[in-house]
Amino acid sequence: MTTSSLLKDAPAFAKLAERARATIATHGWPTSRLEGFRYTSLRGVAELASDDAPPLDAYSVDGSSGDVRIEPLATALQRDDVAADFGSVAEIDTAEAALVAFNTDAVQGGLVIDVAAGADATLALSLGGARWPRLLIRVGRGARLRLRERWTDPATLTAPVTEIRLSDAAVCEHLVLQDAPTDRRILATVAVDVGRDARYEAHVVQLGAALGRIALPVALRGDGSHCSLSGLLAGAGTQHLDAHVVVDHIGQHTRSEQHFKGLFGDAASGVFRGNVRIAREARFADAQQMNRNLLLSERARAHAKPQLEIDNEDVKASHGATVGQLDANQLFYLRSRGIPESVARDLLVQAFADEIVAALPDAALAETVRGVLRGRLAVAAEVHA
Amino acid sequence: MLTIENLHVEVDGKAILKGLSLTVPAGEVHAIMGPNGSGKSTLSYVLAGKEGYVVTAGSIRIGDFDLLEMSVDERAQAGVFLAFQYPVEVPGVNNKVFLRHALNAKRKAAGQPELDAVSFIKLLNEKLALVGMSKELAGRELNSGYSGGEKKKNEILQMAMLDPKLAILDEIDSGLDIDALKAVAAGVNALRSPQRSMLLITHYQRLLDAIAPDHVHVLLDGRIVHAGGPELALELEERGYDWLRAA
Repeated sequence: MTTSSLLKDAPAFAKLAERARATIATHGWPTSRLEGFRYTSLRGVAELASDDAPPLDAYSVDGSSGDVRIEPLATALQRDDVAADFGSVAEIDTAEAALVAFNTDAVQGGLVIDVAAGADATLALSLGGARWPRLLIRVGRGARLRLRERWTDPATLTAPVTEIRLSDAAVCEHLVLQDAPTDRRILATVAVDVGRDARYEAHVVQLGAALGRIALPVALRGDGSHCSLSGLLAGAGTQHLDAHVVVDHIGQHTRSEQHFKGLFGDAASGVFRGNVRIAREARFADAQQMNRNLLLSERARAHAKPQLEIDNEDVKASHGATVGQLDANQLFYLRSRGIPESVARDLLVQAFADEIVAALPDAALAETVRGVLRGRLAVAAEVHA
Repeated sequence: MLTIENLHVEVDGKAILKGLSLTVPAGEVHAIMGPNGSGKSTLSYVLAGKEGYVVTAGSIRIGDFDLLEMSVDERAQAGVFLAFQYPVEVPGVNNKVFLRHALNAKRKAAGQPELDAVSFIKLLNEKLALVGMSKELAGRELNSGYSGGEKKKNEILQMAMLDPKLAILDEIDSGLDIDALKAVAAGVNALRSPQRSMLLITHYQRLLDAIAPDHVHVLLDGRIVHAGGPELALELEERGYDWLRAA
């Protein structure tokens, strides 16, 4: 499967490729023995991955504005500065990170995106049909990037890896809308390294795919760095949707917020794993995490795994996780005003999702998400009628 | 007109209402008073159709409707309205959107067309003025973060919008200061109508100073044990309930 790899035989990447192959040789494809895959069935995925993937476009650019440089990975990799940064953000040496190693070994194409220091840019991307796509995004000192990604028509199986490096005082506002057809499997990694006083803001909405998994490791490296991560996983049928967040507080006065919601109907399932690690030297860290899940059927499942590892005392940390059904008192209240049960349920479900959707930094995409959710609820109402 | 005959209700297998009979003609306001645990809130929930309140005998009729045959939403569409003692907060659901759904569900059940947005806003503004509530409050998330007084006002607004045949006001005075109580009572008084029966459930005489009932009933241990005119409330305030227990 490495025949189409961009790194093959390129001397600058010999060491990186070697490490990737070592990880693959040691750990192989992830299995349910790993904590990060315990509730996520990968049956059939490895077989798909062993096929030779057709060399399709990794990404298409839907629009951009401001001072942003967009280069194909293949040409950008010839440059020393790109070669130095490529593979430096996403971990590849552990079993949990084996997917990144597979991607690194087989990477077919992608983009390198640079926002110059002090610039203000907007970029909209669509994930293409490549199996091993890659993004390297570098936001310069004091610059701001608004990044919008649509994952609407990816490959049957795809494991995209995105590396984002934020220089001091940079801001990246990253929206990912995954609305792929329900026969697709997506195993994505978005790794972020946040510089001094820089801020990374993620909004992840997963509505589609048979299997939609996003790993989101964020390193708050610089003093005063900040990340705000929110997401909605909304599944029906037999969909399985995951968000695996790891926030490493490394610098001092770092701050992280996580707010994820899961909405699962029929026999759908999902996992939220939120790991916050506060290093000994990361004094005055502030970490908040909230995960709420709403199950709309008896067969639906949600696994909430919040985890805090704190190595010092000068921190503020809070976390909470809930898995529940619609609130019976709220349902009764709405019905006691004449609202039929099916309509009352839809109102409550939309209200649950809208806490995340209303906060999306793109009004048009927020409306798209609401439309998909409304359509799905209408179908559910017909099934129940 | 509300007619309850020999109503027996159990909650968790325990008998709470034990042969309650009550008639509230259209156009009248009746108060139900009684000590804690006498079954007052159970009566209001049973009328609204809440789950977990099991009717083991008796009947409840509103005009031609047999309430016990109807679901919670069907009862409301037919004209039953319960003003909650503790209105439920529903974050994320806009108050106006909620009111429009409720009103249109009722109109649909009555075979009427849905109200368009312009007519709805016109009606809403009219009713907001009637109950003395701000447009800003009406546009917020349903009861979410409202003060105690605002929640109760919002209950009265819903009643005004839905124009029920039977309004049950469950401890509408609880948690209100004097000014808020006056405002809520003014709204209720403005909604008195020859077509409407009202049932006031309360502990306290002070509500009945503000909303004068036509009749007062005493609920004790699951039954109406005594009834009289508005003066009965004063007597209960003075003497308590024990003299009725002995009788």
